[in-house]
Amino acid sequence: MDQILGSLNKVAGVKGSMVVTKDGSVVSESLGPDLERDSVAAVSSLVIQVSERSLTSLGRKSFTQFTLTSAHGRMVFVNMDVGYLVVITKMEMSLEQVLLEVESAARKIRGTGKRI
Amino acid sequence: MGWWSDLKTKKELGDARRSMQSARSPYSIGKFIDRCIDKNRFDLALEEAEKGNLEFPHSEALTAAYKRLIRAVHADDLKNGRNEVRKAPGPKAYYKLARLYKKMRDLDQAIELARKGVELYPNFEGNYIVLADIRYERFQRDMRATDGLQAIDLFEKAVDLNRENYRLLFQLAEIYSAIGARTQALEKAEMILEFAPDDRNAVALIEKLRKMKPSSFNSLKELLEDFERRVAAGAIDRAGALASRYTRNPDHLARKLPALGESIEGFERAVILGPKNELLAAHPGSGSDNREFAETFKRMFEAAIECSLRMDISTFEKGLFDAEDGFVYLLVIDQLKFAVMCGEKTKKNHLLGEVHRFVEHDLYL
Repeated sequence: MDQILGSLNKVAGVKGSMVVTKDGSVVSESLGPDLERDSVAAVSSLVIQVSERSLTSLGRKSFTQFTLTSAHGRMVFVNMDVGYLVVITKMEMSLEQVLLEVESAARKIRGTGKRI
Repeated sequence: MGWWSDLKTKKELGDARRSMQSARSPYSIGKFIDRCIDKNRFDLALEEAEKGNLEFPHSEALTAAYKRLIRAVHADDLKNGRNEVRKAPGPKAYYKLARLYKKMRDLDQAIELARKGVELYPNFEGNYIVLADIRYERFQRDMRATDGLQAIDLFEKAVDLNRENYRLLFQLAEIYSAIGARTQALEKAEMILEFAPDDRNAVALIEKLRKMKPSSFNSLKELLEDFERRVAAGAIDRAGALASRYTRNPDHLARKLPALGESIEGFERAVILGPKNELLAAHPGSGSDNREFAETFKRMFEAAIECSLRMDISTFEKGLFDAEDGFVYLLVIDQLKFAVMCGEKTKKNHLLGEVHRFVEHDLYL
C-alpha cells in the first residue's frame, strides 16, 4: 500500500495521500512536506463522518467518491468499503486527470486485499 | 489575414458582443472573452475581462476566462521565463516567472518558484513579496489571522532587505491601517518620507493615520485574532452583489429554482442557504418542507469549510458526492450555499454544467 501511495504522489500536482479509517486511524500515508499526518487524518475523519451521517439522513447511500475543491487546492475521498483513500492535490492539474490517477490507485489498493 | 477575413472576424465579434450585452452575466462575458481569444483579439478580451472583474468580482466563470486569456497573452513570456530560469538562473529570473504565474492565477507554481528563489537567493526581496502578496490575497478572501500574520512577516522580511521600496512600504502601511495597527502603519509610512520627503500619498496617509484611534491590543497577533472574531460574528459585511440581492429578496431566488430543476434529468431537490446559514429558498416544496434538509446541508457545508481551512487550501468552493443512487452537489458562490440532490439518472457532467450556468448566468439576470 505504501508503494501505491508513493507512486500516486509522484503524479504532478499530488501533494500527498493517505488511507484512513472512518474514525481517523491511519493505515498508510505518503504526505508531502507541507502536510501533517495527524491533522490530515483528523480532518479526513471529520469530513467522512459528517458526510456519511448526513447522506443517511438525506435517505442516500454512502458516497463512493467525494471531491472537494477549494480556492487553493483539492481533496478527493474514495470509499474503499474497508477504509478511505484521501488524496490532496494542487489546482494545477485538471480534475479529470486527478480522478483518473486516484481511481487507479484505489483499484490497486483494493487489489492488495489488505484487511484494515 | 486578408480584408475578407478581418471583416468576418469583426462581424462575428460584433454579434458575440450583442449577444453578451442582451443577457449580461459572468457566463456570457466569459463566452465573449473565449471568442476573442479564438480570434486573437486579446485587446478586446482584456478590456471586457477587466470590466467584468469589477462588475462580478466573485465569479468563477470570469476568473476561468481571465486565466485562459492571460495564458494566451503571455504564452511567449512564459516560454522565455522558463528558459531563463533553466539557462541563466538568478534572483530576478525566479521573481519574474513567479510573478507571471501569479498573474496567470497558477498560484501553486508561483509559490513553488518564489520559495525556490528565496531559498537560493535569500537577500533578494522580490520573491518574499510574491509570497507575501499571495498570502495577503488569501487573508483578504478568508479573513484568517494566521494568513495575515504570515503575509506581514513576509512583507517585513522584504522591507528589511530593501528599506527604500516605495510600493512595498506603501502597501504594508495600508495593510496595517486596514487591520487597525495604527503604530505599525505610521512607522512604515514615515519610512517613505525618509527617502521621498515630499511624497503626497505618504503625507496624506500619515494624516489619515494620525486621526485613527490607537488599537487597544498589544500585539499584532491579538489584533488579527480580534479581526477574525469580528468577521466570524458577522460584524464585517463580506457579502457581494449576489448575496446582497438574494438575501434581501429570497422570493426571487425561489422563483428561479424550478428552471434549474427542469434542466437536469433526475433532479430531486435544491436548497439554498444564506451567509448566516439561514434557509433562503428551496425546490420542490416550501421553506418549512425543507427545513430538515437545510439543517443537514448546513452540517455538510460546515464540515467542508472547516476541512478546507484546516488543510490550508483556502475557501471551500464546491464538493461533489458521487454515490450509487445519485449525486449531492455543494457549491458556495458569494456567501450563498447551494445544495443540489439528483438521482441515478443524472449524468455528472450535465449536472455540473447546468448548475454552473444557473449560478453564473441565470442568477445574475
